[in-house]
Amino acid sequence: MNDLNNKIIDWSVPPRSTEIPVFLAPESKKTQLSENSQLLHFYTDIHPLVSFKIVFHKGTSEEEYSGISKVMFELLTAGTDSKSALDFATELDYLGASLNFTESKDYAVCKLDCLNEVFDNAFELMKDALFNPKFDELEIDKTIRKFKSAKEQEEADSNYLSTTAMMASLFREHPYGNPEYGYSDEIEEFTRRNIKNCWESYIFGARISIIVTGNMNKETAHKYALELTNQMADDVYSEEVDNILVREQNKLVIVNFNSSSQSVISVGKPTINIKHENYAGLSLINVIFGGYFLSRLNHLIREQKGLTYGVHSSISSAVHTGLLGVSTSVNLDKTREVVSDILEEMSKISNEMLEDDELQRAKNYYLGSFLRSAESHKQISKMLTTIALNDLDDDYYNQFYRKIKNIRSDELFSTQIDLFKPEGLSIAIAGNEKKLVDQFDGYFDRYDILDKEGKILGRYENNN
Amino acid sequence: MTRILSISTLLVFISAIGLFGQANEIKLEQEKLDNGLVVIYNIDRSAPVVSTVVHYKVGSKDENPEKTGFAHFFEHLMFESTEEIPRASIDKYINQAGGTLNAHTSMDETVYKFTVPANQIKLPLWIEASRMRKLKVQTEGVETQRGVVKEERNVRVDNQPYGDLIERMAKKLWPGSGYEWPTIGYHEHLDKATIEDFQNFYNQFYQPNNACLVISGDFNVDEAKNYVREYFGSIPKGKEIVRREQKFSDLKEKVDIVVEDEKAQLPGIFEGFRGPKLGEDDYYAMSLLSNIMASGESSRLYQSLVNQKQLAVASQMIPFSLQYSGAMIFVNIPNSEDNIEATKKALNEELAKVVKDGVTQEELTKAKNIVEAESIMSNKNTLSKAMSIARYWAYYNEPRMINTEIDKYLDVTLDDIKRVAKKYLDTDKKVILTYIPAKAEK
Repeated sequence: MNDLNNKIIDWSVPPRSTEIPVFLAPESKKTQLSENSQLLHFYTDIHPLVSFKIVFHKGTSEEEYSGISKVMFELLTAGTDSKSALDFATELDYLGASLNFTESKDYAVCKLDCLNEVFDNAFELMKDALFNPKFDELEIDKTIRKFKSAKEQEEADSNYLSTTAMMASLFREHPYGNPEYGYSDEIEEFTRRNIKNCWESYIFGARISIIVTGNMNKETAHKYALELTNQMADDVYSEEVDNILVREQNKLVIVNFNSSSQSVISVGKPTINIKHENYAGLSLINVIFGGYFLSRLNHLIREQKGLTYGVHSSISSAVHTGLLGVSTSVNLDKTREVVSDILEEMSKISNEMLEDDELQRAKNYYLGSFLRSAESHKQISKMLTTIALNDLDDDYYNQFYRKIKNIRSDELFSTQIDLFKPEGLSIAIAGNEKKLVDQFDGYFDRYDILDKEGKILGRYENNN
Repeated sequence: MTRILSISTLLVFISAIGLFGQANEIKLEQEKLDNGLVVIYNIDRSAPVVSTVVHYKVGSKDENPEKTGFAHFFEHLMFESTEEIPRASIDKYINQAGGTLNAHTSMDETVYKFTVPANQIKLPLWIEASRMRKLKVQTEGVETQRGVVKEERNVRVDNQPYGDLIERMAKKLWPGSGYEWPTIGYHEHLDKATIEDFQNFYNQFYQPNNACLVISGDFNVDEAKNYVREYFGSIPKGKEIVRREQKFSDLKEKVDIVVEDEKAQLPGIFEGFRGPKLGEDDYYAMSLLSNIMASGESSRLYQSLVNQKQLAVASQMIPFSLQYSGAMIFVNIPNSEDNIEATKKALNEELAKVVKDGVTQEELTKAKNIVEAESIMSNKNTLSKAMSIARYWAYYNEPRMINTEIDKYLDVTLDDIKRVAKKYLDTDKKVILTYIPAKAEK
């Protein structure tokens, strides 16, 4: 006890707090623009900024040649019918605006961020890029060369190699297993015609959600959105993609990365996706498992053993599956020990009901993260994107918040048993092949050596 | 014809965005406690959260050259325990309150950051005060964090392509100064760090008169002032801090080093020039020039090296804005080893061109527009705002520059750009690091 400024402070206990503020999801409006397009809008005038996002409900898992979407989107700003690549970039930079295209397995996004007062000019540039790309042969050559170099650089990154190997091993035969930068032998198919087909499949053949957040009122957002959707999504089709098959047996794959004194471990396990009723429970268990600093994995591997700078687990949701993933970089010599720790922690969490203290701590963290997640119009844009992509209720985040707040440990236990058993895992390690093979001798019956694109190069079988 | 139309379009844009600057003013209230701690309050009710930042004026430049990595290692220890808070509890308190925490260390600063739900405002203040009063440095914590820091070095430096670039560049750009060694330190120094060393470091730098506390978010200022007085008011003022003098001798000659890198797939050319320090007049002109040369796809270097000549896959610049010096490091990744010399030649032609002719009015206006838009976009949440405010206190002793610094950029003229181009880039005294991919042993 100390006497400070005439006030007695008990330094030995943390200060008491008042009631946590209630989270209320930002009030957005959803409007159907046409059979295949919708607008989600949220207005705030705190900053003079606007985020305008076009979400294509179609991603690289539907592309004809792996990697071609990346090249196609890059080409949209590399010259239009009326502007060279330089003119386009200069005009955009003049506005202090940014226009980005990103693609993932299930969807692609065109995102324009700028000050509200230049929005009209920036919007015209975005429209030009979307509807009038020139796909000039010279620019195509240049862009493919850049793509190849970027692919080469990514393949020098052990994190990329480990993730690619994990996805390939887990989702082999399914497009989710394709490497982000595609397969080298498909690059020759990146012809002007195929690139143009790819462009048409997104612009005219995909459902569209437009997400507008920030300092733009609903009527104006609606006007701009209609200007786009009147020309888009008029021939929507969706390819049938098989559901994911789940294996029971764990699988170890190694991708050689000789020059590193560390190894990168990626563990993956297919799980439920965001539409499943237990998704909130799964997300909460993941927080305890490896989703925050106080998680079991971080406590053991970083804070107790000091074997890593960080170890994280995450849940990602896709259309055809969900993925529980763990990733970490560790000293090469300690790789087997850390893999064992991860599996052991999975086993524990799937066998034992959670203690109330641990659960409450994770809940508090999770509930607080809701408050922090709605600070800016860009964060709100992300929330609306999730709602749009998964056709969730407008009230989804409020419902999710209530579920997390009220769920009990006995209600979570069946989800722990079902979804955290260390079975059906893909354990991918990027590191020195020889040392890893020595370390893992006898650990699994067999393991595969993969190349940089996730293709099988060879197989080791244990003799014992 | 197309070009003329484009330029006229640009002129329309120039007038259109002359109306920038309508961002809401960020309002601040500042006080200084008797012990020298500066406290700045900023109300932002965008969301029911509060961020706190404690910025200590200590970075790796303040370390003993024989004991590098201390400032950063110490940052890890600040999350261990205090006289009142048991080991492994700080993260627990903050996370179970629904908050997040983080910290960073650079050559000049060490900064601690919390964001919590608004009802928990007292918690980060209690933690910050407790560790400012009396941190407990114990063997167990030091040994665990030693392992973590060494793995961090492995992740960030030793196992990245071109990972030791900054380490090598700093050594040659600022020999004899505190900027010469890497913030993360050398393995041999991390191995030798003792508890006594850390205690001395703490006593010297972790004093209220060497720090600033910023609180930004949804709170009541009068209540917050009471909490601040309760928790920080009785911490005694520290001794006057004696820092090692920073000496910068002129670069004597061109440094040209070839590095074989097993992690790199493509070669890398990194050319470093000494530049202005933070806040001096040249700094603003140099920042805009850097933007014109190497920021975005319309920049000169991207257009020349990547787009037109197709020699490189990337051409950018890393600006180093430090308290006592600065640097511009031009980063070029040639698309093959065959193009290394051609890339160097093209870079130097572009640099010579800007030294001789300066830049155009259109280029300058574009760079100012980008900076103006970025300045509004970068302060849109409580934590980023609190960090900016603390930096303006630390380097300019004027937190309100968060609202006015943009004027210094807007005042830059074409002559200023030409002058700084000549002053800093028209020289052979630079550091060139050429990384060549070395094939790893199979």
